[in-house]
Amino acid sequence: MIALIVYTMTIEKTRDIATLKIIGAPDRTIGAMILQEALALGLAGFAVGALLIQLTYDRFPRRVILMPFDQFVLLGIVVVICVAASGLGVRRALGIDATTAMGGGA
Amino acid sequence: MTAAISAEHVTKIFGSGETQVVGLRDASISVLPGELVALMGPSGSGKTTLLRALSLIDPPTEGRVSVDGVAVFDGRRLTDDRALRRRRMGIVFQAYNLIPFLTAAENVALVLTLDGIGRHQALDEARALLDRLGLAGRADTYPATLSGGEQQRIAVARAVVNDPAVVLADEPTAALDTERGIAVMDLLRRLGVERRAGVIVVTRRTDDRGIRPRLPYGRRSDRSRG
Ligand SMILES: Nc1ncnc2c1ncn2[C@@H]1O[C@H](COP(=O)(O)OP(=O)(O)O)[C@@H](O)[C@H]1O
Ligand SMILES: [Mg+2]
Repeated sequence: MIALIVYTMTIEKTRDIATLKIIGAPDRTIGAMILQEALALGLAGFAVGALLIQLTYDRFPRRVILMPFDQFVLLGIVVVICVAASGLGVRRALGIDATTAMGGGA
Repeated sequence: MTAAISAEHVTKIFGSGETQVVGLRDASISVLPGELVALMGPSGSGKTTLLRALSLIDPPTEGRVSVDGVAVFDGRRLTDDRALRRRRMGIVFQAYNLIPFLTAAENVALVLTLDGIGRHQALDEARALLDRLGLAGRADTYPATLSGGEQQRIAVARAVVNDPAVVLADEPTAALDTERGIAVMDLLRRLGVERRAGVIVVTRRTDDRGIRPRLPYGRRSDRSRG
């Protein structure tokens, strides 16, 4: 899911990424930008999820016990998923042809 | 004086065999620091191809390119082209190409942070430059809310903020009306002189004041018959 969103964002930003390459941004900077976006996305999702659990906690007929420790593990999993998910987007971004941003009306 | 940029016998061939296209043939050009050269020629004559070749965005097939006396291409890339562009070159596009999710000041500062300057110092320098260009009121604005003329002047600021040896601009005034186009050309000329950069501007305008058109290169490109 995150992979798909990140990939789509990368496609939307094709021109910006080409521009970054033309003004001399190294691949590692471009990759870091995408990773950052993926992490922001994942953490926002995690925060919304945690909030929902807090709000609905008492309403569960059967008590779901969520220890803080579980939350940390979950957070770790989210981060790992984000890093993995951005891989595809980063690969796509690094493959973008810089010439698309100069001439040719792009 | 050492040329800001010089290129000799630059040829660019796209594709191969039957579908081969000569984008540019045997082009030579040399620009001194502080000099502005207007590159003129009909559509398809290889102007964009030349700028892409000089900046190693799409390197030549043959030829030699030097920046500030240092050879950067002699049939092969002699340097990291991204580092070359972020340290020694400024590029201006027809469509401005500001990064939409960054403010005007952040767009200008980006070039400095890419080269390892701290965020605060970079933003200060960017603001100071925008201030001097009469764009201080726009520093914290996002590109989408700015006029074309303003976006392009900010793009020119982005292109010169790293004190490049060379500024390359591909039809920077094509999307602007006459008055705003002239303002952008004036800025390119003024900043080129101030910062001792060699400026190459592709333009179709004949109404740009003070331009010294130079017949830029040897023979026009043509399509090969394969
Ligand atoms: N990526 C490319 N692949 C194939 N042919 C190209 C490519 N880029 C430019 N050309 C060809 O090279 C010639 C010069 O193009 P260009 O440099 O864009 O001209 P100008 O900028 O002067 O209008 C044209 O014939 C064009 O079709
Ligand atoms: Mg062109």
